[in-house]
Amino acid sequence: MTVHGGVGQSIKRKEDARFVRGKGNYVDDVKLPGMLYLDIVRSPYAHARIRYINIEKALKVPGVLAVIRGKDLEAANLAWMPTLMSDKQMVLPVERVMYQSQEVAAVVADSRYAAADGVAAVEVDYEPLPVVVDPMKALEPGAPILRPDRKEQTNRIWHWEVGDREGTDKALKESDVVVKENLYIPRIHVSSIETCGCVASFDAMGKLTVWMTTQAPHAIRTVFALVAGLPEQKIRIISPDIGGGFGGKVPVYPGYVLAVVAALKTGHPVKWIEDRSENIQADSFARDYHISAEIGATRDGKLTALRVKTIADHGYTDAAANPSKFPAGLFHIVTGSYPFEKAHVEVDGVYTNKPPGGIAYRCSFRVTEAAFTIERIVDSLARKLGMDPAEFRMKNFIPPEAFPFKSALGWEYDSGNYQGALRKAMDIVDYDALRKEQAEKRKRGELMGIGISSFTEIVGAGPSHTFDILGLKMFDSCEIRIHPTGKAIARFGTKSQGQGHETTYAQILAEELGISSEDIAIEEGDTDTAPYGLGTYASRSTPTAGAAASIAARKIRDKAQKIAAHLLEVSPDDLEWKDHKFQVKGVPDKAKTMAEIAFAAYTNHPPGMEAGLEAVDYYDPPNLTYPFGSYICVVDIDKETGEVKIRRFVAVDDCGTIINPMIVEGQIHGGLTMGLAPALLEEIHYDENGNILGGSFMDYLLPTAVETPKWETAKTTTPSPHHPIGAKGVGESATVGAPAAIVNAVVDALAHLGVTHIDIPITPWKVWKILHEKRAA
Amino acid sequence: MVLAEMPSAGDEETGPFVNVHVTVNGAPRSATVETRTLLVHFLRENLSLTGTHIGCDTTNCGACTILLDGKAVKSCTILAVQADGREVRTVEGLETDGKLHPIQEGFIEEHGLQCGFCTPGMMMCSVALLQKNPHPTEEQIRRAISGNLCRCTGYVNIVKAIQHAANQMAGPSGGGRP
Amino acid sequence: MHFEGTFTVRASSTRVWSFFLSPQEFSSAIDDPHTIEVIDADHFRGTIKAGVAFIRGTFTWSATVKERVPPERAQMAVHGSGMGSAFDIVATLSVSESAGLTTVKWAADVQMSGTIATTGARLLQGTTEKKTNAFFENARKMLEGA
Repeated sequence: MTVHGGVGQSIKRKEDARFVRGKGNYVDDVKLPGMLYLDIVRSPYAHARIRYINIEKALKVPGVLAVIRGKDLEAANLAWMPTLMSDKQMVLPVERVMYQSQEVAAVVADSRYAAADGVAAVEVDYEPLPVVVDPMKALEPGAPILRPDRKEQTNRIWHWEVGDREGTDKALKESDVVVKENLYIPRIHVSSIETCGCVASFDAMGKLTVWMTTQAPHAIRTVFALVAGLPEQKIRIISPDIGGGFGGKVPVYPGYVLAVVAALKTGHPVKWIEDRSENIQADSFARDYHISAEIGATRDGKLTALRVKTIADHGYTDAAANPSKFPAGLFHIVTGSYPFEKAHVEVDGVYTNKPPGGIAYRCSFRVTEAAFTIERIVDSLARKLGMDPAEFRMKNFIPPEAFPFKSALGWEYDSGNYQGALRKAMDIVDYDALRKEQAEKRKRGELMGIGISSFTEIVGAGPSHTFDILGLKMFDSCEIRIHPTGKAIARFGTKSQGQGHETTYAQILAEELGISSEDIAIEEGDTDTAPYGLGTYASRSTPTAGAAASIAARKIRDKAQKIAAHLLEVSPDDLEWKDHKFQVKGVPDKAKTMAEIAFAAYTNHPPGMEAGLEAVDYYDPPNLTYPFGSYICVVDIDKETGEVKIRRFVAVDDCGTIINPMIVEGQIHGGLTMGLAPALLEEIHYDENGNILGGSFMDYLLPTAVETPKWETAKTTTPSPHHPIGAKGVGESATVGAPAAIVNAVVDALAHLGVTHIDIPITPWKVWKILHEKRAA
Repeated sequence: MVLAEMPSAGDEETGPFVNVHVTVNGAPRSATVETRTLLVHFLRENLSLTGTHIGCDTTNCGACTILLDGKAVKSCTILAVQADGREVRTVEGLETDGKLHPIQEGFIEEHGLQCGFCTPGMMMCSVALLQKNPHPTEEQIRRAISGNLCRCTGYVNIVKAIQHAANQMAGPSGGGRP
Repeated sequence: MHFEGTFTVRASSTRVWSFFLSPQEFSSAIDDPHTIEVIDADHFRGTIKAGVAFIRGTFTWSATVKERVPPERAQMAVHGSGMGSAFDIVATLSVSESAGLTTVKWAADVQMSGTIATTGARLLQGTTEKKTNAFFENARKMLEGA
């Protein structure tokens, strides 16, 4: 008997029913009686002293009820709050603003429009201070010290390193060939279509409820309790439907705190929803890594060593949401799919006059930066050796027999078959035919490129011995309750923002419990009811909460087996779980379904046993999981305009066991598009005054259906040996792997002109300039 | 030319408030709003039709797309008063008598949505497209929805959803569904 | 941003000088609707309704005469803010006369911050240049017409 909606079935999504009817419940849809609106006054300057904030005119604007300033918060010890990396950030400044668009004051009014009027009427006088936007300059002696509150008077936040420095230096010196590339990965912003916001409301008994765009409701509740001094049982965070997260809805933004303060001060619910421009200009960014990478090989093309140095521009405070022991996230996965014997990585975090953050763009904690680095530099090295990039990779990949594989930088990869994935991609795209076509086109002066990216991902944070965020261990949870009529409800500590958990978790449970996925309700996001978890980001849900679901379901099966034995009047050892029911071994007709067992759990359970049928599991993953893939990108470049057209993009992904193939494919399509975006379109820069260039959708270009090609996807399946159902997670793989494939393709198209690297985004202007300079056009 | 004084903020003739009457999804609706009220706020807040979403402030994202007299428009860039006396169709008006519109079915069947936030605008834009062009090519579809940004799906399945709806609507059972 | 220019006008240097140093007179050369209040000989303030493309609104501004050497040289600093933006302008003027024709050499250093500088970035250079040129062109016409 197969169960409806089990693992591996492409069932349609349950959440769609409300979304296609426009009946989603997003934060801005929340409407409470007497609700007020909060809007924020923001600094036009990137670095300035505040001389005064005059709120008289604002208070006279019709509809305005209150204005909050830094000094009001200071009295309640709330002007500063801790960041997730144990640095500190301002809720509102008392003395100085540190980035353009920083929150300076908050206006509370009875309508959205009145609040905006109030913001326009607040008068702030600034004394501009010297601006630091270049992290290299920030490290020079004599640079203005941006954080005089820190013990050490420097703009260096931290220095972090891992690996064998001397061994790597020696190995590189002794290598026959060494290639060095400087890669700048500019700042980008995830810009999910729903911006951030919240509604904060205190009830008559002083209990605070906050509807919030958050990917980690429990962690937020605990942080609020510690920072605001509110008793944790009197805080309820509700993360309802979220319009995309991708990491941008993990941090605690000043707007949330201001809404809570405003709700407390006015006695009314207060809603804060940021504009898109505010979202791009002030919320957590991603990337901004200045990387210098060196890679060595023997003459015959065997990799020897890897050395990477990085300057990480973090804005004015370290507010990245990394696991606490890893200020550079999981960047040291940079050895990628290759068995380097020697490697060394060092990263220096730097303060600048820019918004804080660092990892909000579907990046698995800096894995995008790492995969981009290794796959770009491997290509450069192959080219220097005169080897075909596919052949070079095949020659060097970690072989399947080597797993579990311990990398030179300390990770233990669970399983992989890199040759298999690349082989499959090459077959699908007909790699040899493409190389022939390229050679012919090159003779005619046409520009065609083929780029490969064979990435290894690292997700599922993480084991309690190494991972925590602000001290909270990174387990995750599932709590299941089966009802007398055989239906079930399960709640999780994660929070979907579009990944389809209501459907996929039900599929895992359907498979484990033999209950149709239609009959299993899945809930997440309400901290009053859901078991504690660390939320959904960095592709961790399936590896952690998905595992918890399996384990909790098996706990239920243990009890169910005893109930079934009682009903069938046999010993539990005489039963086996087969075809999604408990059967007497060798007598398949003597069986009980979970539905029958569930009913008995409430009406006819064995004497001495507790009634009911439920279980909870808090899963501490024994290791991370390592999804991987090989992508091949084919580009044609227009010589007249420099425009890069992606002719084909084949993505072969391996995420272990696939729960819902349709949903996995959707995740890959979306991830690839968020890989194309930084490769060709998106960037955020600051001019020397700290003005953000790219602060609205007019200048910050998200891919539309026109720029996005028809992605082709395929899979290999190499289960994770340590995950209860062998699943690895896949949400971010494509964003991690795609940029290098695209850049490698463009560089490949122009390699015969001497090009070895082009910094992203590769705009037509950059290509045109190169062609113009090389006079190939 | 020099003006010694600033022009006053309120318009003397119509005052800061206005009565707006709009037929929304076939039903007459009205409310008194500030003249500067955007249509999207009128729909979401005055009429509690929260299916239409706001995703940007520069008219780029299309999440707020609705049909105004049958034409797909971005309701964040239209004042409520401009819709006075006209017909508006929102996502809430796609389902009729408990039956989903082919575009809604297409989005479910083809996994054309993930977080659902761009979806209402995407579907309204698609309805307008299929009314004008019942058999669009893939290129025509992509161009038609190029004013609607999606961060989750990568558009491949959205195109399939629209093609699914086109087949349904042009087919024998679907035929002529508006 | 830095702009500069030269123009000649059929008026005496004394006349030209007094035009630019008189708030009521020079403000009449500004096209955008504005108000002006004289605090003393060297300090003025007011409002101005201006913007770049669709980013328009009311700014408050204040100006200080930093240097005056009649009828040859002057320097004025203007600071304005509003609409989540701020601007600072330092304008210098040098005036010389020869045979009834006065030559005015002007330069303006303009710094913008905030919404206008970010959202309006692409249009900023062109719009500011246009406005600055228009101002001096208006001034020239008024000086010759009067």
